[in-house]
Amino acid sequence: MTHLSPAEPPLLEVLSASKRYGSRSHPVRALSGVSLQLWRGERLGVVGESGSGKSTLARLLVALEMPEAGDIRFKGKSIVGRSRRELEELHRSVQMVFQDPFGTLDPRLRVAESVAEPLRALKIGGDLGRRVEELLEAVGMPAGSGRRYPHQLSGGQRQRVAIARALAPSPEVLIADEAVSALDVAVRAQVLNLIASLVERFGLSMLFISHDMAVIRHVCTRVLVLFRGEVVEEGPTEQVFRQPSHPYTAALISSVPTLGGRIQEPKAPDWEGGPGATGADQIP
Amino acid sequence: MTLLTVSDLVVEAAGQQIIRGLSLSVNAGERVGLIGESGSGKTMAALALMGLLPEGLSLQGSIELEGVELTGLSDRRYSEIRGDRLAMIFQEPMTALDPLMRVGRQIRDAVRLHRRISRAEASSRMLQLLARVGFPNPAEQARRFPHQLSGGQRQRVLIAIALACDPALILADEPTTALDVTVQAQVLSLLQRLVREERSALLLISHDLAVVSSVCDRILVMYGGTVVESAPTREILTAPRHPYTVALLDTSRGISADGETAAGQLPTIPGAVPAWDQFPCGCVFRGRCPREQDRCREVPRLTEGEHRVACWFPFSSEGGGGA
Repeated sequence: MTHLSPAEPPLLEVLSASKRYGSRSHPVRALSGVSLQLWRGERLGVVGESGSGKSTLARLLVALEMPEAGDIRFKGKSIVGRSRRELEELHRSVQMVFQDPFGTLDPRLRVAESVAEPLRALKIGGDLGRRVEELLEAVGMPAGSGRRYPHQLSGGQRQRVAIARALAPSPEVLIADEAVSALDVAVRAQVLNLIASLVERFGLSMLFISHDMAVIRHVCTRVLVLFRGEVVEEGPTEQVFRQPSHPYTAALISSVPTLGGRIQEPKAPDWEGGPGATGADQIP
Repeated sequence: MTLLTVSDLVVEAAGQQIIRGLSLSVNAGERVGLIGESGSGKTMAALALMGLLPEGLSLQGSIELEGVELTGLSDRRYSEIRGDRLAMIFQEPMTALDPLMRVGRQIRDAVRLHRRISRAEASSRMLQLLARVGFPNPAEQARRFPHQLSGGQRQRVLIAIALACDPALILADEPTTALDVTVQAQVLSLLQRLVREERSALLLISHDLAVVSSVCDRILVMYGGTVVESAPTREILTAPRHPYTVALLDTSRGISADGETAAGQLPTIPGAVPAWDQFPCGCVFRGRCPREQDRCREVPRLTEGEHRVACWFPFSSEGGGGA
């Protein structure tokens, strides 16, 4: 366990949270009874595929959604049922980076304006221009790139800007939801290196959500495996990798193609179902 | 026997080259991987091969399939070959399938487009194909619409359509990139088995070296609209010669699910892939290459033989790569 002071509650905690979507007659269960703790200084991985509930989990953690059952706590205090004003600290301290930076960056705004936006929204004062320059430099953007528009940047640069924007309010927690999944291998390595150095430099705690066990293994000290809305395995990353105890975890690991390896077909074909068969779509 | 020969293919837009003298060949029944990052021109190459280049792009050079020169063919003649001798599987099956048509009908139409057979015969062929791509209850699947299928199931339908007329060559452009990892493994395994059984050749285009090296016999490495290295898969992995291939392997090895994963900083390739109209003259890897010298201002030609490389100062052929 990597948390520094055991007396301190986890930064983020999910307690038996459940979430459904859809109508009363056709409920769709996204999460059922999920629990997790993110401790200060920790890099926790959440691995899961489409329909696992991993994005719902992220939305619960930043209070974009509320659970039907269970509790979400930030620094030991429940965030369920709080007012917007009471959640101000959460909104400042927990920031997200998504897979598609195009969704995060307003195409009509220059890069510098996009990075300054959360500072304005959260009414964080000071020399905005200077702060934005510092942030863009911290993420390795060339000087003067603040004047550019998102479409003038490469995919890797857009993700760097999205990271700068997330770092703007000096958060304590970074939630990365498939943040490098859309990037080519070489660019992905650059962005992962950047995230690692920023986490170190700013003392961030990180929840890293991905479908890719290989990336999780590189980034995270502890991992939690989500399958059809439930946690099926949890443990130190290396241990889970070497001795996966749930067959789904084993399938996730063996399915990742390796250089010069063989394609290993997972044994249970019913993992691939159409809508109506995947976890997020139907009550089992 | 050589099935497909592409020689000195050039695709230009507004006087700028997007594909810069691409040459490659695929033998009958061979599985060849074309690897490249975004901006390498790999998708443009696929479109050129399929005769589907966007308007306004000009094409020079030669594409020969089974002895037939494809460049300069009329649209009508090209469409007779496309789907029949040359089939394609795209990344996004949702855009390749008609959302308003049941999948069975789409497969049947693909069969009847190129074969003069009765509707009943086409239907039985369609059911056969659905079974071959792994649907346990073909008749039921045939009645479904694309939106009623999962991503993996849609990709299986596309594979069925590709196989409909026993093509000599299947071109697959990032066929599994949009899929979950466990589904990707299932679809790749299916594709690999079917091309072997059907004795089709496969040209698999991907940014993922691990995927390509797991499926293909030979790998072509593309960068800046041209092939910079071509060799049997094992040689690419153990004795890469082009500095770009070496760097791509290093960065791919940084993150892996097997063996030891690198802690700390991952190996990267310095700089970024330039925009398509910003590549340097001479060698396309100039500016990012650790072995660059004055001579690299001239374009290096791809060497001949089994292991080909387009570089003035390649790594030695005795596995000197990775240094």
